[in-house]
Amino acid sequence: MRRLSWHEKEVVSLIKYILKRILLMIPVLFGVIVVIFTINYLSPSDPLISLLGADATEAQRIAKAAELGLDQPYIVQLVQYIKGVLHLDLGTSYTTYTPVLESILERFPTTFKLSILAVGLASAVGIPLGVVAATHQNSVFDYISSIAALIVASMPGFWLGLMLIIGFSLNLGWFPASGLGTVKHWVLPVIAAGVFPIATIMRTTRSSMLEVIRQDYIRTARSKGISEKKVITRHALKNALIPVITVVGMQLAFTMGGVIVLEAVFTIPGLGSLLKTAIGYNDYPVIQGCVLFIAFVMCIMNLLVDVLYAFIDPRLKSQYASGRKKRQKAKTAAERS
Amino acid sequence: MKKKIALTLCAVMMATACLTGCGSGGQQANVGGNDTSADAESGEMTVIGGDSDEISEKTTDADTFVLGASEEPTTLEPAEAQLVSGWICTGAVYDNLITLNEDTGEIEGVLAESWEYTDDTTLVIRIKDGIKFHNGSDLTADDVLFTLERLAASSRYATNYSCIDFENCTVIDNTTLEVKLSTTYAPLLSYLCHPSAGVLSRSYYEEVGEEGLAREPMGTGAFVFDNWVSGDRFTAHRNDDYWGEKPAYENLAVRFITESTTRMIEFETGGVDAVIDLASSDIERMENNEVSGSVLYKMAGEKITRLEMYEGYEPFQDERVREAICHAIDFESVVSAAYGSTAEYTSSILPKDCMYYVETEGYEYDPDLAKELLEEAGYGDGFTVSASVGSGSPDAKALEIIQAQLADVGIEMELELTDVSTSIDKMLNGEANIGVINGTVNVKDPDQALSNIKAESPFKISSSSDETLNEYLITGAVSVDDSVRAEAYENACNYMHDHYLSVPICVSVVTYGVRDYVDYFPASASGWIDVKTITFK
Repeated sequence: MRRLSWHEKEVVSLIKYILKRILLMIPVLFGVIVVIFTINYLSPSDPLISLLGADATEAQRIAKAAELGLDQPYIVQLVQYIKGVLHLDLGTSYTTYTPVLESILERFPTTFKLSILAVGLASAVGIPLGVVAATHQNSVFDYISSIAALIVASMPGFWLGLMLIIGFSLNLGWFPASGLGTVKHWVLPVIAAGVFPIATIMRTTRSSMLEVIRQDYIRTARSKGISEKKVITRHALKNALIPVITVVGMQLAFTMGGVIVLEAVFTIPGLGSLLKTAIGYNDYPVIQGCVLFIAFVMCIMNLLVDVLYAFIDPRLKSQYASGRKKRQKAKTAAERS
Repeated sequence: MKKKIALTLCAVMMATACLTGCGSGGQQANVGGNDTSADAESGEMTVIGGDSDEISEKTTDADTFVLGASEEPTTLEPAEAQLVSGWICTGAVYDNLITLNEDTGEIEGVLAESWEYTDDTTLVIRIKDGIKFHNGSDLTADDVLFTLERLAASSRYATNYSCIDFENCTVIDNTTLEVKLSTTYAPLLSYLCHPSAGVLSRSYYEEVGEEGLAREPMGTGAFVFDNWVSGDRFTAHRNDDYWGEKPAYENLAVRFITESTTRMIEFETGGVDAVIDLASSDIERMENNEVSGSVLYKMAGEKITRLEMYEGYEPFQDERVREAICHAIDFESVVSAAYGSTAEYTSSILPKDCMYYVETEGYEYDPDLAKELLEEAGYGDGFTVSASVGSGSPDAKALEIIQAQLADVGIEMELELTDVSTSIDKMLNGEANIGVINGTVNVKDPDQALSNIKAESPFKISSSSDETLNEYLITGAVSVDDSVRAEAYENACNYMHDHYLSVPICVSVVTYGVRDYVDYFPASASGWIDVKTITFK
């Protein structure tokens, strides 16, 4: 049998790592299902009141509860739900009677697009600002950008959204206040959703750059007469970006989970507004489905970040490749002893 | 260089602050003219603005009417729709058999050519000939029967149609339906005027099923359904083959903008042509003509908010305690502080435009008298009551003020702020001894307004076991004699007033913001509007 090359070993190890991570997602998602289902079950809110109104008779309430399976014991309902999830059936909305997965898949692309644009904007602004702040440490720019980052990170998204609407839509009339359709419609929501990640990405880039530019190899590069611009962009930034990529990935996941209120402010038909409406009606299948889906996306994002990390960071790459060898060595040592 | 960057950043930050800061003050030039209030034909409606010679430019599509609604309907099947926005959408696509003329108070035919009771329990409906659904199929009497069947099976409106004896209903011919009732029920015709009674097509239902009916409505109405983008908007286009008077514009869009500030800004910037459910602060701005190019329609609505006391709680079984509570609360100040411009104080249990309206006097705010009454009833040291209400709502604010006023006479209220459905649940099972309940009467019949006061209602309020009151209410519902009904409801309202049962607090105020280029807007106290009648200047 042909021996695997170093590169092939690397790929095999990486695939094994990904499979392991995917397997680890199962208990996480199972935990999410149990927790969210139990919280909904224990909630004092009665979905029948939201569905039938306060004037519904006892007979109507009993009939509706039986129709929705709400008259079953907790464990029966939970097992039914888990069975459904395993068959990719997240249930049917109590209010719209549409399959939950269908509603989620209809709304998700909008939320994903908003999150990608917001984090893209945040990276485009945050990374250069972080680099400049690091290379000009303790300068006026550094202080102002750090304070500005602190201020914007403290702004609640919905408040900023409303302020942007008042400023740029009502007073200046530059952008529409709500809805989707044209490029202009995306501008204010993307800014509102992107401001918080800007601050986080900028701070991470700054601290990472500060660490890297003090390394010996940077000093060596400078002593070789390489221009400062090249030192920063080709040598320092490449290595400083490793933790930034992790943060960008995580920000994407957080933004997707955090645009619930913003979608309501800008009337964007995304996953967040679906979840918000469902909460208003105590529409448990939709609430559970949305939370589970967001958790799933978070897990996937985490996985992608880790895989990307492994590709970028040569130290991690070598760890995957040498993992098998190390385990064999340890096994041999144990047998000998 | 450093200086330049710093200055640029400062300038950007200052500009942002200015832009957002000036928004809060946002007073704009008033092109709508001076403050003008005029009574509309109904005598109840107030119209403010729109008297300027110059009208603002329509920035939405020229041949489209765009309405900004505060909530998104969960379904577009009329028999299940529950929100004003849902009724507006279904009302555009479907026609009712009959409708109530709000000016004359008379019932008029829409799809029905005639309707008559041949005896107390037989209603014969004849529909107009030659009317077609949007898919080209003919409207038949069987479709009307199917509509009644859906209403009777509805999770929301079934009670209103439980009097129909379907086994004995007969489709006499294509245009005639004989509806048999198991008992006389006077409000039936009023309920048939409600948008929930839009006439459905049986064959379409058989083709598309429940989900199709809920998501893709198809009726005989003035607009043909185009699309419902969940979370965004409902769109429809004019039915050029409409049997009645065709709408004056081509397209209809109802946008679901849940955030009130965003909704108002869309209105101010011309993103929508009209808005419903204005916030209290926006009503005040429009009343002061601070929103240029706009017209405010304001009128008393049809929702009465009442204070209810749980009959199973011992202190409330004593009439003197209930009387004491009525005198311990300054209802007018409660309404003014809690509801602002969205409601007005009322002392009557029925809205003014309701059939058989009875005016009753309010209770005088007299804490000393309240204390005396409590002393007489043996509660001189006070007692504790529990209440539950949806947090953040005007009802919650009202109960917080009532809590403080009751404390002044020695009654301690334990107020739980929770979500709406939990608070209703607590009122239903008696865990909350006191609370506020809303009664809506959008078909103008007291049977609907007082439905949750009847003994059969799941609410256990101070009057639930009162046989006298229940008898009045049943007489009012089943009698077909107008004078008997009038007398029954007069007795019921006076009885509730005299025995301190179901204490009215306020009546909702319905408001519409409309751009000044809209010529005719069918503002209605019920909250839903007949969009096909809208015209532009």
